[in-house]
Amino acid sequence: MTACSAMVPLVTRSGPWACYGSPIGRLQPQASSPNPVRLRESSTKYLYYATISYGINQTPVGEVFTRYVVTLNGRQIRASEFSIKRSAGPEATAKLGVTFQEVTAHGVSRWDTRDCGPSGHLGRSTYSCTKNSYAPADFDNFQVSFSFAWKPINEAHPNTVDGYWYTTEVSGRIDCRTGRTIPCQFPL
Amino acid sequence: MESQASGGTAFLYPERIDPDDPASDWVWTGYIDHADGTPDREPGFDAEAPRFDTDQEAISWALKRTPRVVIHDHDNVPYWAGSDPAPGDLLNLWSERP
Repeated sequence: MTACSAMVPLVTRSGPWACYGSPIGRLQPQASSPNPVRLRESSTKYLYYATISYGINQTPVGEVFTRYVVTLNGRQIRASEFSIKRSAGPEATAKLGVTFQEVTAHGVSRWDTRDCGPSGHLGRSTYSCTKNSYAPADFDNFQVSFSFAWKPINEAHPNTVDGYWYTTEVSGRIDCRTGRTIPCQFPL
Repeated sequence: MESQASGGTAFLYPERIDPDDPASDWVWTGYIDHADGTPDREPGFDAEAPRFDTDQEAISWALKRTPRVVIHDHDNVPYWAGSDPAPGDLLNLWSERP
């Protein structure tokens, strides 16, 4: 069994499983979450990355590398370089999705979303999905969270790893305020 | 350079020619917002920038429209490229970046 430091939500140990591998690459002081690794590179840039291993029973089947970048340009909120790459394993079907959600005192509501990427067989290649959104014109103290997902597009089936690929989701908060030169920034 | 507009802020940044292709070439683009960093000016779009091959072309386009220009480098670090003095909350100058 491959070593896993954290699980993605679907995991069972008696059948198909998937889990985050150990963090790879650079780790800097401002890395705030171990899996996926989140780096706050500046007040206007977040970088996430992770490796996800998956398999059936005691057999590791393959790995997926995932990476996403969120940048802020004024009140533009951009998810880019949101990509996945298969490194091994049998064919699988998946698509990428980016969702922005507005955070209010009453809860979280979907605000803007895009599904893109392969939407089909996921070969051993890199796929990417970029999404731009803009904070509304009348914002002040506007807050948004965001999530990223790669998810199967076939019916789940207990005998295939493909059927148990699920959602890898992270979120981060963005704070938008009028009255400053760069209105939308990541909080410290 | 003389500005032809009296307000708003330009936000410039690099993006891929094909945003869904991380291997495609970079271009420069952006937009101009009504907001000027004070609570009195509500944000809203004034203009969307075309795509330019160079940062200087993008800055020239912006300065023709506003003296307030914010530009991000490829690491998304913001700099001031306006003809107005740099505001107190953004003192890094594009002309003096490393």
